[in-house]
Amino acid sequence: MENGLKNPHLLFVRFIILLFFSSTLHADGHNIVRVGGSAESIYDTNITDVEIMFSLLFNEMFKEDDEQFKIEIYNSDDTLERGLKQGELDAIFANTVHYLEIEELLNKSPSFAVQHGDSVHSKYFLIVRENDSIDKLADLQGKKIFIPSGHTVGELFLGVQLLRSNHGPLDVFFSEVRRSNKSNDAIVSLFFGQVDAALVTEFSFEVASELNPQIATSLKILSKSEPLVHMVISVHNDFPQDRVDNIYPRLGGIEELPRLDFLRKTFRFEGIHQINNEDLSNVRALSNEYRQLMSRRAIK
Amino acid sequence: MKKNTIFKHLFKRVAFILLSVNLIFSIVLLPIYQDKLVRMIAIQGETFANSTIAACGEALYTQDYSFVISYVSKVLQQTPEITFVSFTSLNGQVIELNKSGWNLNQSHKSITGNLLKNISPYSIEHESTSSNTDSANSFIFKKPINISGLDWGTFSLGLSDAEYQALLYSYFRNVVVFSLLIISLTLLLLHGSSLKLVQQLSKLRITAENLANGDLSSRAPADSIGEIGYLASTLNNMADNLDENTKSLRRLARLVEDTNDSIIIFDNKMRVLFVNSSLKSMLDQSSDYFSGMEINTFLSHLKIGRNKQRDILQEISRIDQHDWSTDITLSRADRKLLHMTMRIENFDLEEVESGGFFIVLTDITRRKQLEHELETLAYVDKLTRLPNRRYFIDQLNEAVSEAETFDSSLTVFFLDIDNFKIINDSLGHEVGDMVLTESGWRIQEALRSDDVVCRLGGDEFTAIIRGVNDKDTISRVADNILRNFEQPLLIKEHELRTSASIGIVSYPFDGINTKELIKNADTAMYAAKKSGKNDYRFFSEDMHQDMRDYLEIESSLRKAISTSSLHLVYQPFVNLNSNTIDHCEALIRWKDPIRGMIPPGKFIPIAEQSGLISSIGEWVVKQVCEQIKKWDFSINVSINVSGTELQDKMFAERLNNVLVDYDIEPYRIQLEFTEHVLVSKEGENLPQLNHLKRSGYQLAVDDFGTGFSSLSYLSELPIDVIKIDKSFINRLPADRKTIAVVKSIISLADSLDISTIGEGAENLSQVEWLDEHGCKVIQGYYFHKPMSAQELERLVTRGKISPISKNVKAVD
Repeated sequence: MENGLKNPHLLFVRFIILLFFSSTLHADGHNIVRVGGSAESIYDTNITDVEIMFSLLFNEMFKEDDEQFKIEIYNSDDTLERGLKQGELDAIFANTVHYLEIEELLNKSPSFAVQHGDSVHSKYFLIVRENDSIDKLADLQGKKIFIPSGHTVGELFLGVQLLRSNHGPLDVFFSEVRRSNKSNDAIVSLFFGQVDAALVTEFSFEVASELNPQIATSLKILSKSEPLVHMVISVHNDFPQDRVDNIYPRLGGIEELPRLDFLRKTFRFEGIHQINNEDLSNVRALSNEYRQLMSRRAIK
Repeated sequence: MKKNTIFKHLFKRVAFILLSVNLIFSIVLLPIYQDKLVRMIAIQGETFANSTIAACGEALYTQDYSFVISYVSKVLQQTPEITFVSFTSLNGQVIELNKSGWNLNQSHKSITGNLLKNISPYSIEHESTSSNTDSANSFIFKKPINISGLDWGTFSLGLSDAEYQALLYSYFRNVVVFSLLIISLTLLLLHGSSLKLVQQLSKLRITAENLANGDLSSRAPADSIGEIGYLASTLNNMADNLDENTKSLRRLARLVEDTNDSIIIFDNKMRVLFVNSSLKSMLDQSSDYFSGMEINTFLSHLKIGRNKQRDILQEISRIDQHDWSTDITLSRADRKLLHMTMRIENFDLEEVESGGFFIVLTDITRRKQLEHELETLAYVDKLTRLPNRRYFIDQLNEAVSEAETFDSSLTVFFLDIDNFKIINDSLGHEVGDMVLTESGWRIQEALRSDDVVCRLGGDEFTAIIRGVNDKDTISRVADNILRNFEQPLLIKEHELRTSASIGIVSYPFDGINTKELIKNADTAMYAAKKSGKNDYRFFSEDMHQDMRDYLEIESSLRKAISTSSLHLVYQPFVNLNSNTIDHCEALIRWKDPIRGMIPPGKFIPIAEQSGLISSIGEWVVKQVCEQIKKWDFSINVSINVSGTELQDKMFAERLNNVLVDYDIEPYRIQLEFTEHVLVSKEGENLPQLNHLKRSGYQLAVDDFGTGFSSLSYLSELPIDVIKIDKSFINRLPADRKTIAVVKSIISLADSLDISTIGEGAENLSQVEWLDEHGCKVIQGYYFHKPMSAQELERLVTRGKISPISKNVKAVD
């Protein structure tokens, strides 16, 4: 729970799981909305917590409607994609990279993203210890890095940075890539010298600094990304438009419901905002550049 | 304001004691309880520490601090009672975690492995606020970290003392609640058990309030419990006493209020507190008028003079607990004087705390008047309004002293009214008093205005005539007095003729002091009496000889009774109808061996004055009885009885006894009484006369006509015979007035069936007149003189009753 509170991404995921559901009609007469997500996109929490807490949250939000939400977490992006294709899901939440890959299966209407902090966009920091005399990316070659699970968009950013500098792929450049589903583990490990670098979101870094002010002083940012949308929420392209029209407007106004204030405060998110293609342009550009750089490296 | 009851006080004290006991126990037990709490917290801390060290041991060993931080952070979020956790490695690296985050510090003191071995398994301390952490008021639990035999460092744990505080709060709250519960239960039980006591005390209080409000009949129930019962009994006794005392006080208050004395009570500032009705009535003012009045004003209001006021105020300031009194005279509005006795007395301070004093004004006006009257009476004879004996003595003393000083002279008259006793006895005291009064004025009329006339008492008067000792002058004065007495007195339809006998003495010739003068004047007065009354005598030494003779006769008479110097003679009564003698009168004769024959007229008065008359009378009766028994013929005998004998209540009994002794019938004896003896004492002798009459004696009135009584009394007396006095007989038959009187006497006696005897008949004409007018029994010298018993016997036995002479003058 503590991690859920401190990690906005986790909060976002939990909320999305509750927010999007399948549209299957429930046995008691309600419309069932089946929502699916990938375990690879979840970090700083466990699947059970996400299912329980977001189910409560969203059903509370729509309890006076005919919609009832049911959340299911898939083991990987592939199984999620498969489930979507097989019609098992009415909606999905997926990291932006994966979203862009299955974009043709989803509703064309604008999607949603959860806002943490001032914006729906989030930056990724590559951080190192202040006193390790690492001033550029090349100084990390052969070093250990800690990258929390679910940071697909961040890894895309770091991969592009390495490729641009001709350092090769991430798993080649670093001697060891440690993973954990907790962002804070990456920062703590870096703080205690168990790794030499860590890739975390700006939000995670700020939270860790709040938990221990020594973090801000003993660690430094070596590189940081443009603001990027980390995860996208969208419904299946065959989900009834009338239900989409019913759900979407109310989903965007969650911050206007006083009775759900305690949930927003508990999960430390500002709200859910609709996004457009422009919001996804940075990720789309990075993804394209990564493919090009990888193609160019393969040609070489 | 409602006062707390005794039970409220008791309840308060019980509550206070219980609360104190609870608090003391609570305070005593608090350290034990705290120790237990700390132990409990220590166990909790150890449990947490053991689980945390067990969970993080490997991570600590591998320096996987992210796990440690993640784990501990999660535990901290889920365990609110843990405020912080810190790990201190042997090299001094300290990882401290709390709910808001964590940090890494370097301790300046490194911990060695040996040091860790020496410390106890754990330690726990209570610390207050720490500015850097959230460990405000928390317990710090410390425990060494040993990982598989390797000393890693120490584990510190912050345990919130909220629970501890809550338990302590709960402890105190429970103590308070328990105390309140105990107190409430105790008070409830006390209240329940005290209800009856409260009721009884309430009744006591009501009784006391009723008593305080004046209801003295109120009494407390006597069946109360224990001491309350005693208290009720005591209160009732007090009420009884109070009731009794109040009644007494009310009676006293009523007495004070209603007494004729004026009572004023002053406080210790000399201001009026109370005045009673008498004063208000006397001064015609209300209580309010006097209330608070100062003593000066009060005395001025009584119109007491300033000097007297000053005296009174001085005495008030002097008196302590003693009283002081003075007489004052007040002038009332109607100008009448009120004489008052003012008594001032201090209140006994022990009795009246306020002190003060009171004044009692007693109206002594009447007493003063009486004193004045008594003073006057002391010198004035109440009957005649003439100066009395006391005044006479004083005046005579003064006159003697004056005469001695100025070598002057004075004369004293000693005057006695003749036959006053007869007047008094026969006409009563009222007439006698009027005779005395008139006599006093007649004496005074004969004297100068500055001469002093006094009444000594009885029928004796005196007069002091200063500056005169000339016998001619004095004789003229005495003649004037006697002349004044010659005028008849008209008193209550009685025309009385009185006279006086006067004894005269002159200073210094007849005495040089008061006593001597009085004695000699009295002697002279008796001399005048003896000379035939209605006369005056100047004192001479010869008179003393007469007095001595008198005393000698009295002495001789006493002897004569026992020495047969006395003897009886008998004078017969001649019955003209039968020309017989069947009655005689026994007459006493005294032949003194020295003086010879002493006439009865001389020694009988002496016998009466000396009291010898009773003995003589008794002697006469015995002699008569003895003689009757000696005589061979039957004859009745008259015996003279004096007033003194008749007044003796035993007279009849003694007389009867003598007759019984001699076996003589009472009718043989005729008792003769003078007229004034029969009617004296306003009929007091009548019972005795009736007694004698019933006994069978003949009763006769001797010397009838010489008294002053009316004839009407004869019908009321048991009289058998009237002996017409010889003074009437002697004037028969020539004097017409006497004839009329004697006729009336005989006629009246006849009509009353009373016999008459002509006494002292000395000639035939008298006898014939008496015989002709119905008086058939004659006693007198015409027939027979008194004679001896033997002669009488011979006379009677011879039967000769013819006169012994035609004209014989009787002699006593």
